[in-house]
Amino acid sequence: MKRLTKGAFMLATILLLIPGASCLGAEIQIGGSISHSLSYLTQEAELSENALRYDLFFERQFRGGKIHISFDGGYDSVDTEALRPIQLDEAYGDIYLGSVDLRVGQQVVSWGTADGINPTNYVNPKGLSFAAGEFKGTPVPCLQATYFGPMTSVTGVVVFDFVPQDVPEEMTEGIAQGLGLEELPEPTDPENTLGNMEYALQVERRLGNWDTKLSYFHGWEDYPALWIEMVPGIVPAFEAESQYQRVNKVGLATAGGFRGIGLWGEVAYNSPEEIEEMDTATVLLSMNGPYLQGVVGADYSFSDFYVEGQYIYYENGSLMSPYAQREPGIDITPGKYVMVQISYEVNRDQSVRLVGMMNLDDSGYTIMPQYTYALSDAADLLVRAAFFSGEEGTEFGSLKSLESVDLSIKVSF
Amino acid sequence: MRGKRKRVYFVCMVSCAVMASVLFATAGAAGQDLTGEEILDRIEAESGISGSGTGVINLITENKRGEQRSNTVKMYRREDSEVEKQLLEYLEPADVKGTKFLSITEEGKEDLMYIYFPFLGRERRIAAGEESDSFMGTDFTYEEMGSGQTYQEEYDTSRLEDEVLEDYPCYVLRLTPKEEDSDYTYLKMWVWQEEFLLLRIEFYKEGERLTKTLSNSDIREEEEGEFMPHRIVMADEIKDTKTIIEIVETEEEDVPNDYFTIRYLRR
Repeated sequence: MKRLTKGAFMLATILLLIPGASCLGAEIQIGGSISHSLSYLTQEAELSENALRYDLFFERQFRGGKIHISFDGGYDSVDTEALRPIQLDEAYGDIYLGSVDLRVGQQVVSWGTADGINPTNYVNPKGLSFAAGEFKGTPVPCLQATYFGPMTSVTGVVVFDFVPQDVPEEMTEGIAQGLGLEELPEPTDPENTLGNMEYALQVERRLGNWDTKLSYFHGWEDYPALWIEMVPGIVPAFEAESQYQRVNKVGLATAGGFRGIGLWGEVAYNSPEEIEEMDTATVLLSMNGPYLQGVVGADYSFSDFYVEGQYIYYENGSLMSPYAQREPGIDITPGKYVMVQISYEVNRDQSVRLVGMMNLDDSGYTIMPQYTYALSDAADLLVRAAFFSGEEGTEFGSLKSLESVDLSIKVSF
Repeated sequence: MRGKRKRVYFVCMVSCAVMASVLFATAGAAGQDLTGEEILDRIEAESGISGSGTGVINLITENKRGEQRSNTVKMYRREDSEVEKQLLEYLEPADVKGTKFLSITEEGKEDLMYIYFPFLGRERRIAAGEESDSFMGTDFTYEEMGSGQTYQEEYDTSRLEDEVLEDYPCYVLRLTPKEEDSDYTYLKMWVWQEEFLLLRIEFYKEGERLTKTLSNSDIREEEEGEFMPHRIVMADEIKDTKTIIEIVETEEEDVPNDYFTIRYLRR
């Protein structure tokens, strides 16, 4: 990856510096942002982040297509391992052929109709936090082709090499600790064979006033399946096993409006291939059978307010963890959440936003207020906070140590 | 994200105003003994907001301290029989550059509105909202933007004494709302006699309280002999704020239907 990053960066530099750059440079769009953010953990009374981040993109349109290369990176003095100085974000080329648009290269394929939580957004692996980048997903090298018909469009995606999502270190440590294990095993990546490639297909059509998308995915779960086996002996021992799991997904997403209210719904039926060893496991942490994920939501704008609500259903358990510990034969309690977002434009320079999410099973909730002040046309000051409430051991209750107040300044160019 | 979105909403409406001002400018010759209704007829009959074209505008908001913020937007518009299509693409500032807004309005159907954010990589269908709403933190309202087509429906018109406004001989009209629940008690309108070009509207509330003033200025003669305001200012006289639209360029041209598609949004 490092070589690819360096190579792509060099290409962008060369495009700008070769003779005639003033002419060529005029055709290349350059943009990005730089931000500095501080995060203070209120419960722990300590600074958890002092980070400089940047993103940079180069884009050149040409007749019948475009090239896009983007990078990001940064440095965090509190956690020096948290950010890389530079990493390739997306690097792709678009080719427009009659009724077909091709996009080839490292890219994000963004599907779905809901806001932020998209069960039918299959292609790119996604993180578990509420940061915007996590929702978007990690770019992967793939080929995307879309046929645009008069009424219907069809998109096909081939991911040549499965890119898994890293399990956060704190999560693996927590699980291992909870099970009395020293560490969790690293699963083996699937071999780079044709049979192990990922494929996705989406058909889009407007039905009445509803934009409707039917989709299918054949590939791998983002996170490895995890289970615990008992090793017989005089003193029985426990051993964790981990393996990437094939999965087929079928989804339906739709969005429309009624009397000025935006409405949407998205559902995915996920069918992971069963792992036989999990049938005899002592403790299960992953799904070994089909499960549903769905989101329905609505939004409305009036005066200077924007109001949005979503109901989220995750049959596989938590929205914030791919793992739910249980004994075989015991069903996972589905995750059911309500998410509300209210924003208000105080004036042209100031806005406030409040996002809240409640777990309907245990009544734990989080509230995340945010205040934005536009320092200039291209610079914003952001103050935000995250509060968690819930009984000890509940999903949000256990995140109290992460309550924080953040301050950041972002300059775009 | 929502803050950026609101800016886009606003510019959508502004584009209507720009197109309207362009088209108002195409009105014909003057008449001396016209009634208020006939003057509105002359403006509206010859303007009839329709047609296709592109334009680039600078949208500047100014607070009471005189500090300004500016957006530059490219807009595309097409109107076929009963379908009106509009695409706006932000060119500046950097933090919203590449954001696109598509709206398709068809008689008797729910409006289709999509917003495309480059960082999201896909479009989102969005709610149309209430047409009577005022615009968030700006000096325009939806109603004011759309009123160019509905003055005769919504107001009774009478003529006041003619005046000269910035060297332009003008008809002066008083528009009194037909409905009691109107936001305004009356509007005062200045129309350039020679070209039937709307130069100024004052909005009054609670009797004689001037609340807003819309001014069209920097009037230039275009290549085809039409006159067009290149600067539109809506001043809120209560809040002491302004929203300024500077028309950088406009062109009447046939904009292909392809521009008003999800496909174009995603490119």
